[in-house]
Amino acid sequence: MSVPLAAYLAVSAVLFGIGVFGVLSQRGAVMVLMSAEVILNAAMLNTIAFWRYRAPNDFAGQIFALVILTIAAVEMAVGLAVMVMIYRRRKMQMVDKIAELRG
Amino acid sequence: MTPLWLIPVLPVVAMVAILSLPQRWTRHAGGIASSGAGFATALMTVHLAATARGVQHASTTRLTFAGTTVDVGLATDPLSAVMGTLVAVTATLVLVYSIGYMAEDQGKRRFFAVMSLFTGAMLSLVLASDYLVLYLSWEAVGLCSYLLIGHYWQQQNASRAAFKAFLVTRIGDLGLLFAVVLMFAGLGTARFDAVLAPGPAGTPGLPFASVIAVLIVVGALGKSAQFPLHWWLPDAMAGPTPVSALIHSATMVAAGIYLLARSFPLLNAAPAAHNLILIAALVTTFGSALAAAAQTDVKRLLAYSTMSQLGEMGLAVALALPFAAVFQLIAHATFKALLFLAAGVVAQAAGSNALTGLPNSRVARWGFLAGALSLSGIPPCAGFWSKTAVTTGAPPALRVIFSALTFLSSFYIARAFFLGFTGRAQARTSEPLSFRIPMYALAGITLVTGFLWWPLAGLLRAPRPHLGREAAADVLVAGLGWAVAAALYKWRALNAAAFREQARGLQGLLKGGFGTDALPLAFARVASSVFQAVAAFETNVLDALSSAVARGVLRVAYGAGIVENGVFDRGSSAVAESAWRMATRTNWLDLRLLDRSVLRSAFALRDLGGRLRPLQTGRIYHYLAAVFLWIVVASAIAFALRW
Repeated sequence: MSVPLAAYLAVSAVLFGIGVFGVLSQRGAVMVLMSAEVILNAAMLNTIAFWRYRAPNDFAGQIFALVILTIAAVEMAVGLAVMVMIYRRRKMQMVDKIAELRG
Repeated sequence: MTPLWLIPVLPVVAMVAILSLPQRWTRHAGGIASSGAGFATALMTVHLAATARGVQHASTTRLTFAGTTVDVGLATDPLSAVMGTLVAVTATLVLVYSIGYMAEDQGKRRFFAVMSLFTGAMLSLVLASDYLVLYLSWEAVGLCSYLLIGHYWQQQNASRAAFKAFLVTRIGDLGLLFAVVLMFAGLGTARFDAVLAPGPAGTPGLPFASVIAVLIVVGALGKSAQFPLHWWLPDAMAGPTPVSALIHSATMVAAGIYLLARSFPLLNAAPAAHNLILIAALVTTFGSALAAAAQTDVKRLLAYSTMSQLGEMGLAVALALPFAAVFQLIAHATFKALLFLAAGVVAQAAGSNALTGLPNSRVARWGFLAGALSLSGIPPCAGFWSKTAVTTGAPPALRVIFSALTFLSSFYIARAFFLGFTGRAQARTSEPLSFRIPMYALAGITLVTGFLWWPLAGLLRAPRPHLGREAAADVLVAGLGWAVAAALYKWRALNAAAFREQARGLQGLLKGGFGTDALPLAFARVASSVFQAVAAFETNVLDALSSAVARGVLRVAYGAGIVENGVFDRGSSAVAESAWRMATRTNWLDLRLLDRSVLRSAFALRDLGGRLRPLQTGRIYHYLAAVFLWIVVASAIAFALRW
């Protein structure tokens, strides 16, 4: 237990910042999705760290982590599917060109 | 054993099938109708055989209306089984004939539907076990008769004849209706066994028995075209020939005789009814036989012959020989249907019913000859046996009447045969199978039915015919009739023009049925002058009276009009005006206040929407930035508040 909790939280905050930056700045849809994934990982790291240091005898933390993992996978699958469909119809995948809900 | 009600229902099913047939299958209508009647024949034969073994069937339904219970139904006994078989067989044969006869007819579907309905109604008439069912069927066959006489409704004489037949038979039907009503009033039932049962000590068990008997006779006279209700039948020949064969000779007109035979115990106890039959039948049988001898239209000739024969059956009933009448009815149905079918073959080919000028046809000639011999009572035809049954049962004093009748009927039918069916062949007509089969069958039946007399007599519990000198004398008289007709019309023995001139006046008198046809006309004239007097009374007195009343009413109405204009109209105008004013004010209020405020708020919302619209860029990162910004702001606020 030489590494303190604050170090984990700092890494998590950095990851979150990178993710937010990526989501807001990237134009490619794949990059946006990857950034969202980084945000989720930051949240997951936070959760695990708090569980390990604060309530290691409770299963809830691990279960939360697993749920976040699942949600990340599902979100990835749906997001990529949407993007593939858009690409097939319009031959482009730049998020700033997709400003309308019409098909 | 199949249920009895199936027998009349089968032809009705055929009718429904024909009416629901698609247009392009109309040519099968005749086949369906014949099959319906054929199945009924088969079932009827089974029941006849059962009856012969002494097994009788009945199917009864109990109806309850308005608290009254009535049993109605069908039943077989020897009489109804024999009659039903006769009706079914004749109907089947005539329907088969009609397939050929009506092949080119436009109204084929209608014709076969009504013929099927008639077959069903006639079967239920003879199978009925009570007077109610009998009466209903009686009306149904009358309706079918009306529809079929008027089959060629485009021709005025056909539609008039249908109307006439309907009205005249309706007089008789009314008699039967009253009889049924009286039965219900007296006994509460109209079942044959109850109505015809003898009461204690030999008196009839029925109240008003003699009145009912007379009313029944009136019904039978109308249906069987007996004087004074006889004058519809000759005109009824305006219908197609199969109709004349089936309805107006073989079955429906014979229903009157069936009714008399069925009601015989009742009639026998009522002298008034007895005398009525005797007089009507005597007048009809002689008048029509004389009229038949003078006809120039083959179908009218056969119609008068039918009336004469029915009169002879009526005489048999009046002489207390109901079963001889029934046997005569059976024989008559077969040979008269045959005569009509034979006449129809050639009359259709000629396009006219005129006796002279019918085309030559071998089938028609031999068919007509077989029927004519049977009608004259020449052995071994059915007519001989039935006539013998009647004459041998009659008292000796009346025998001369029957001999005269035999002579007359032999004469007129021989005259018809020599004038219409022995001409030289000009153009041979070729008859389709549907013409030949029923005629062969009927000819066979009329030749053979005579020998059925012994089993039939046993079945109907009638006396066996007595073959003696009387029968031989009748055959001789019939032969004399044929000889006279042959001398006059074949060998032209009296071929002088002077004789013809003299005969013409007589013919004119005879053609009208010896003046009997004029009688109803005289009645009509008296009635019409009565109506004219009533009409004059009406114009002179009632009209003046009613116009005075009308004037008074008019005046009252005028006064009422003034009152209305002065009082009610003004009042209602005032009310209307104030309502109008109020409405105007409300309208102003509505426009100024309500409409404006509603519109203002709507416009304000629209403007707000317009202002907010630029926020919706559709760019995802704008939305995400807003989300993160909000998180930062919310976190800052939460931190500031130490929450």
